Amino acid sequence: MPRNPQEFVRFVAKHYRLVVAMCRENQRFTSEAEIEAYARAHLEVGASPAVLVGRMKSLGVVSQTTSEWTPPPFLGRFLAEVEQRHTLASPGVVRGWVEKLSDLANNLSALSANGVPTSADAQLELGAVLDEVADTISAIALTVTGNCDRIGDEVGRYRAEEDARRVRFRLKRLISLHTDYLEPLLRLIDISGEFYRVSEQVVAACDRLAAYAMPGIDNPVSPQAAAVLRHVVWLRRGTLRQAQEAHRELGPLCEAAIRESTIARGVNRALEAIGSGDWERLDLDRQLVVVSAPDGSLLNDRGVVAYLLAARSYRDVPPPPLGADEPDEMDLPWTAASVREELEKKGAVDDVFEWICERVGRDRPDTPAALLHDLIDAAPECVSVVGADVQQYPFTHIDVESRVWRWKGHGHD
Amino acid sequence: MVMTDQSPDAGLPALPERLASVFRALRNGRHISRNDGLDFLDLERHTALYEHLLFGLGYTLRSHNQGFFYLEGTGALRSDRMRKALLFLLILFQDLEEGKLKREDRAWEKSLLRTTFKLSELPHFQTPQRRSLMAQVDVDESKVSDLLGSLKQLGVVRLLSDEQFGFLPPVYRFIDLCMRYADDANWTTPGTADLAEDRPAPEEEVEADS
Repeated sequence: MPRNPQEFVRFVAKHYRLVVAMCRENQRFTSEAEIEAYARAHLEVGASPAVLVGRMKSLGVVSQTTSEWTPPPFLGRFLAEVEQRHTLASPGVVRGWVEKLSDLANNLSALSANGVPTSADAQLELGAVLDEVADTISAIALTVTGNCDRIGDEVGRYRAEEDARRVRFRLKRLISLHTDYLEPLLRLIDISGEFYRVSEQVVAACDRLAAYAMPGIDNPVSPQAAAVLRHVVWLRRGTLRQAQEAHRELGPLCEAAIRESTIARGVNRALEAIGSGDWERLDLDRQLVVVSAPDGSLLNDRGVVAYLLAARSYRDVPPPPLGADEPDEMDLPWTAASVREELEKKGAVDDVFEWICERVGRDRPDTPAALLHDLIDAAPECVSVVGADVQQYPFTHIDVESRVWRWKGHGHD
Repeated sequence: MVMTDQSPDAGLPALPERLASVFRALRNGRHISRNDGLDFLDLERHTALYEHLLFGLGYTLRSHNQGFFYLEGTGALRSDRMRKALLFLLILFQDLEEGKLKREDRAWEKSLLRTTFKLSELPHFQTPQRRSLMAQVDVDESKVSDLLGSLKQLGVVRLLSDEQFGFLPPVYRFIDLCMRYADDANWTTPGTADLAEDRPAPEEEVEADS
């Protein structure tokens, strides 16, 4: 039954919220009573649901398919376009279309391997494949465009959003769109991707078929192939450009958001560690080395450096005060030289060791023995042993036995 | 007969013009960026020679992709000074992250080097928690100027008029550090700034997913 478009549009405008809800929720009704029950919530007080449902049926706002009443698919698409609600297809969907295109391209290549076939049936088959190729390419372009438009919408909403919590959610949503949808899609349709390779195969086959177009020859395939060729090249370029534009818009935004989110996580971890007094966790000595070796001495000798350090630390202090008592005279220690000088004056001494002991003292034998030894070393020509007997020399705690040594100076031969 | 150049300088490249000044600055912990003028230009022009000379003295010259140089080697800066600097910057970064949604560009890192900060508006003493953190490193409002002076000496900040300051590229050493903490798989304490935690109301989610 022919319908009145003006009445249809007028009804949709009047009951917009009801129709939109039915379409977006993809409502299906098994009876008129169900439609009435659903519509009642959207009706003004006093309006009759039965009359409304009757109008909907007569205008085609709901139609019956497989025993269920539902809004016709074109109505949902129309409203989505009007509202600029773009469906988001996963990269898997696009990949499915590309796989289908790949099968068609193989078929097209096989059918066009020898140019335009001569038989009418083969030409018909080739024409059908070309049609399907054009439809599939259009479907891919439409899906990608839909995704890009949807991403554009999301970016617009994010930029317009003022509520901080919603902004964070929208940002997360954008990152997901970028990572899960746009990047895989770009990899698929980019010049190095599968879509480009398959479409090149289609272009080559169409190019081969278009070359057979001759004036005066009835060959419907060649013009069709030429049209498909232009269609493929144009759609491919437009699709890729749109995806790249979406990426240019979304990419930097998402990269900055991801990076700042990472920094913030690091900041919070560090602050938590500091808050709990766990500075060691931050490992600053290794993670944030900053050299600090201010100018100092360049001397390489430790001794000199130590001396300079000691000299630098010198402080002038007065000497300690002397006591009231006069200091004692200090005995000069005996040396071999002083002993020899005394002996030279004496001229000759029969027992040198005894003579030394009398002057140095008999407290310990070490000093007189050392002096005798040094004297023998210093003037061996003046010292000699007398006889073979051993003499006892008593000291405070010990007696020493020694042979008797005699001194005979140079002037007493 | 073979002729050889007997002069002591034969075969040696000329030393960089700013060697003394650059060496002194680097040894004092300074990060040399474009803001350091001739020292930076000389370092940039003779990077390989500087690397060679400093390596001979036991140091490693590092060149950062944000456009600055610094030294690594023995004689590290006292850790309490670095702790103060790090905590100061951590709190500032946290505040920038928290406030970024009020900004038009909704991001802070990209414009970090162009942003100026007023001492009177610093977030470090605006909450008891942050004040307590700053007290851990013995810094209160009266000591912020000293801390900024220390950061200036390191080449991290530039002091401006009217009690303001701005960051120089070496601040990225601290940002890198935060990135390393975030990427540390052994860090068991969960971070709290993940975007995933900010969920909208359920109806919002439905609307956005449609």
